[in-house]
Amino acid sequence: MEREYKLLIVDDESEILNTYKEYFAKRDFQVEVASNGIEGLEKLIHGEFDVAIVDIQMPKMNGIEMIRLARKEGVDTDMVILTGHGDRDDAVAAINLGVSAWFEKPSIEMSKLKDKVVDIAQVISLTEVERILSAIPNGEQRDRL
Amino acid sequence: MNVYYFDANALYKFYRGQIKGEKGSLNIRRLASTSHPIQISPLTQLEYVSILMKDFRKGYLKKGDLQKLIKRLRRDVSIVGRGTARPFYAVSVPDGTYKQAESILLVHGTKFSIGSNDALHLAFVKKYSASTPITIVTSDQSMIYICKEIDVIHYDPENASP
Repeated sequence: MEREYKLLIVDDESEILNTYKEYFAKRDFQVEVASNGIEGLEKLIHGEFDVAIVDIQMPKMNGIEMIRLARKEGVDTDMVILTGHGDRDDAVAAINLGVSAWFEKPSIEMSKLKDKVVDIAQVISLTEVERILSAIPNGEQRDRL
Repeated sequence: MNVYYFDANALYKFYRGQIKGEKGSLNIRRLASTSHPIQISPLTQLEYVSILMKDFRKGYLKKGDLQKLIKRLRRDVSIVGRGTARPFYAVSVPDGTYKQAESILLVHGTKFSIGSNDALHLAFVKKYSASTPITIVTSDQSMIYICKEIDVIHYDPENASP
């Protein structure tokens, strides 16, 4: 990873929170957790996270509602959601809110989840940025800056 | 700890990396990869995005790449005090910055070739330096001359080592 990314995990199951937190922290992520949508929303608004992993089914406020309110507050953190098996309605609602990816909770492979989170957090690698910008003629840049 | 300020030129060089025959980019990367906090202003971000837009209009950038480059910038910029590992942090415009920029233009614009944006960058740094010394990163000779005149610390990446 180019740097330490800041990750929020929102889930009402403490076992999942602890497992995910430990997994990502060991892989150089800066991890915070929230155990419901209200707490998650508060942290999203004030925490400047690169990515949030959000469970859909939660008491108090579900994941979709939390993301909707976060977007309304101007939070542009990328979201990865965890859905129940075959829960297509949730997935469609999430896509409409600009969610970056979703995983079905019962069959998550942690390495795939981690790779996806890194991809999303990075947006585009610095090497790729360099490749794109260095293709622009040198004189052009001198004229503009 | 030294605090550095990037204008759009420095920011662009950071992202473009080392180009053969061009000085300065490597030093800029070194600055941003150390523990020095790199400060940028809303003007820096705006100018950088404007440059990318111009590249797009001229056909040098594809739409998808343009979107990714802008999103990457947003992802790299932190807001002061939130404790992330983002390489840049944004500062807001202090009161009186535009007035100060106008003064810089009026006093130095007759001798040195500077534009309004250059004057604004200098005014930002001058304002912020009142509480904590800030070093502006620039290789523009007119800016460097004015820095000396108005007691702003500068770092020229093309002619120095960090």
